[in-house]
Amino acid sequence: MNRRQFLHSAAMTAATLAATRLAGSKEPERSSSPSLRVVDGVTWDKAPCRFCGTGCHVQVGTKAGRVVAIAGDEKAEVNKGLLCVKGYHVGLALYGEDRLTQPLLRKNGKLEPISWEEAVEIVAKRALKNPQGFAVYGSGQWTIPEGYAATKLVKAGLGTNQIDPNARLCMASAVTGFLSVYGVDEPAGCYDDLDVCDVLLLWGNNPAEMHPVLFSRVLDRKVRGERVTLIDMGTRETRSSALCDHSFRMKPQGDLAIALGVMNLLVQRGTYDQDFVEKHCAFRALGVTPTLQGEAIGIEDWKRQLSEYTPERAAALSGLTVAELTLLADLFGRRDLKITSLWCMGMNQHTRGTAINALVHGLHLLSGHFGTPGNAPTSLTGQPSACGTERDDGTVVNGLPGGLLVENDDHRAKAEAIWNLPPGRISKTIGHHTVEMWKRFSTASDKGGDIDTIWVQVTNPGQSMPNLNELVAPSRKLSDKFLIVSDVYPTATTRIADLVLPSAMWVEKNGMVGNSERRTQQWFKMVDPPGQARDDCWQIIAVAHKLLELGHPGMKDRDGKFLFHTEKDGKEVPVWEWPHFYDTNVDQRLFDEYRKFSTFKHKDLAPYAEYVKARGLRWPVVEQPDGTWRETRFRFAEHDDPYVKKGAVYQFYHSTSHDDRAQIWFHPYTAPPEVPDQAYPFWLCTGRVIEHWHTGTLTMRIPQLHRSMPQAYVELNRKDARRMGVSNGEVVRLESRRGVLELPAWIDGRGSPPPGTLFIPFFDETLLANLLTLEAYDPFSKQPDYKKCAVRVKKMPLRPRAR
Amino acid sequence: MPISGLVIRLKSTRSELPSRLAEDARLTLGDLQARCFLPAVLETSTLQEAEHVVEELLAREGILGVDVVTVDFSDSVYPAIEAP
Repeated sequence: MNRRQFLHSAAMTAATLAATRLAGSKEPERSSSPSLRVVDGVTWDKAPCRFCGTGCHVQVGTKAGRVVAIAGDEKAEVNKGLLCVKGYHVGLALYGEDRLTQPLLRKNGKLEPISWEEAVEIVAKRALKNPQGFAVYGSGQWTIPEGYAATKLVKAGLGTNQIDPNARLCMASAVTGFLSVYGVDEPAGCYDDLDVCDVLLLWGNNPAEMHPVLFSRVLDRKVRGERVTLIDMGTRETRSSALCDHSFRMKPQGDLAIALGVMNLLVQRGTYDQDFVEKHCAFRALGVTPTLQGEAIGIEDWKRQLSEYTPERAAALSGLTVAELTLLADLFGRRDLKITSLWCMGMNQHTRGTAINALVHGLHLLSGHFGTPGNAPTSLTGQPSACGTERDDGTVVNGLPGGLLVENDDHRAKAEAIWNLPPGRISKTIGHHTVEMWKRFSTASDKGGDIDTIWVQVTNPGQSMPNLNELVAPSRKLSDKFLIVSDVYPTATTRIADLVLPSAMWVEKNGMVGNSERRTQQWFKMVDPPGQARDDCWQIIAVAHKLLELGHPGMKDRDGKFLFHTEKDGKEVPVWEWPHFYDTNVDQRLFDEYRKFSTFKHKDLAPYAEYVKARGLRWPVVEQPDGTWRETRFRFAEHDDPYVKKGAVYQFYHSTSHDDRAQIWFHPYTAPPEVPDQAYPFWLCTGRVIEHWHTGTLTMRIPQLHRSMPQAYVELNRKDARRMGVSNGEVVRLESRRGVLELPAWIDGRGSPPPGTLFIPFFDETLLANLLTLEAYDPFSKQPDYKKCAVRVKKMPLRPRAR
Repeated sequence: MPISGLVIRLKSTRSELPSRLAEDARLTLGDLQARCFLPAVLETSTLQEAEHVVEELLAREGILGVDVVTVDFSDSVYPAIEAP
């Protein structure tokens, strides 16, 4: 058999296996064997996909030091051998023409090459000069060990809490929703719910483009003849809408009124699950001084407040009809149906994000659609490790690893014990959250701008922050502000940086991530990074060691050892020196330490070796009497969660009311902070497209994806377009109170907004959607709303520059 | 010469489509699973041609979706990596 015949045969085998699994919907057998294999000179190994939070596993084929092939991993429970358009091109993300390959320092306005030694010293000296003003801005694309190292550098080393991730912009409201309802973060259910639910509700969610493999999982059930009802609720028609049985158009912010109206109908009709509520739920409202925990109220008080949301009022506020609200209440009122809700940015990028998250959880709790397979309120994440790194590692201004909080004396003491720090090393003062961090960076130091240095890793705030003209641009005119960016390609942020550090990415380094269903995943380095590009984790450790050399007292533990002290065979490994970084497995060393935090909030992680064998494991992962490690699919439910007391059926063991109950909240409807008016008469919503991932820094360099979607556009309703005399492809000028953007119109394109509404994708760095957006944020999660602001539109005579 | 493994989802379980698809020399069809999941191998001269074939398949009456499960691009020409 020649090479070509072999490749042909291998492709047919993989396709047949995938088709067989789709046909039978069998769970693939969990792999317990080493994943590495060599076939026809190509070495294959497993890795989670680099892109979204779904957590698909791919098989990566390498030869002669390069990635040469990608296949869906048939042993992966998440994707069962399938991938989306981004996933099967993921290998090409490594090979864009313009990879960053050496450190660059801005001199006289121009970025010029410098050595790594100089670069590390510059970063360390900025931190040494003013630790309180030195912030780290990280990412849900950090691996777990990278995020953990960054947290330790800032909180254990510098003794501040000036670290926050870009996940603040994408799922912070999901976190505060979980915390306010269950007292602990992350979903109770998992993707298995998609295989058995009778009804799937999409709350402002477009999984056909954003989580296509998960959406296919449900559509395949329909293909096989199973009965599952898909309901889409959104402010515009999307690809998902077209594939759903029902598609409801809601007004911006209308989700609050939908949840309130449906809950009220369940109460008025007496069709809520009284037994579940009596045994497992308590009631909450914000109270006089609003806090995330709120105040306890009785069920009658809760019902009284809810009663204002009659079907007619809920319909008027939400944009749904009374009949559509009644249909939802009919479904939630039935105990014989299994209902899963999915949401992502539509509910999270919301100035009432905490409220709508809590209300949707409340709707499921009230109706008893919780805890059994197929009954789940589940938030999806957009980044590969928004959960595993940001939420569990504590890379946030108020957090510590394992869900611990810096304001809590006991939590700080626990962290200081694990890190072997002198008592009092960790600060109890919460740092500046993302929007505030950048606002202060863009404010003169003598006018309250107390952040003078930001070190950005694995993210692109020069494109992704809202209201760029206010939050990012001013800092570039302030001489004492210094921006450091670690990345793999030139981006909107590296172009304005003072120091650029070239990073390794994906299979150019070891890694671990955690997906949307609590699944922790691991991979090994497979190819070398180009030029002088180096691991982000190494960069953090190298800076920490340079600070140690410069005399910063925080870089030692209480025994005088370096914070990232690493041993092999009883001898210290100088992992801060690049030639020695891979002398030992630094990821394993950091993960073993981090794992000690995981039990405090029942997020137990297995030993590193278990993740090497598996295609991910969902926490809590608990050791069994026979020495094996068992993952958990359904939290808080006795049938699956090992931490639920026998006989309890359900137990919310981190309950904020300390009685093992979940909280059903009342949050009132309020209007968005900015609504269209005479001067700015259109709603603007921003978001993503299937071809491009977030700010497009990787996918715009994959020729196949770039060709498919080369530039941004604005979706315009046909009636609005006709009224303004705009045809497809003609340039329009969008203007908000914050900025201006000119881009081509797309009428009846992929998405279809209702009259008075526009949509722009944000992947295109030459057409920055966030020049227009509003930085207003949720009071609890501090997450900004990218989905609603007011703009005006004007037809322009010229086309934009072609890319 | 990129080789891709595909799963073609057919809308109808009684479709005549597989026999029509078999006429395309670039496609090798496997055994239909559950009468609606059709494994296939696609061989084209370029990745761009492979994309076009997938787009054509998606546009055909009777096809609900196409999943690409493997892509071998080892024969493709990579752009050279250059320092900025």
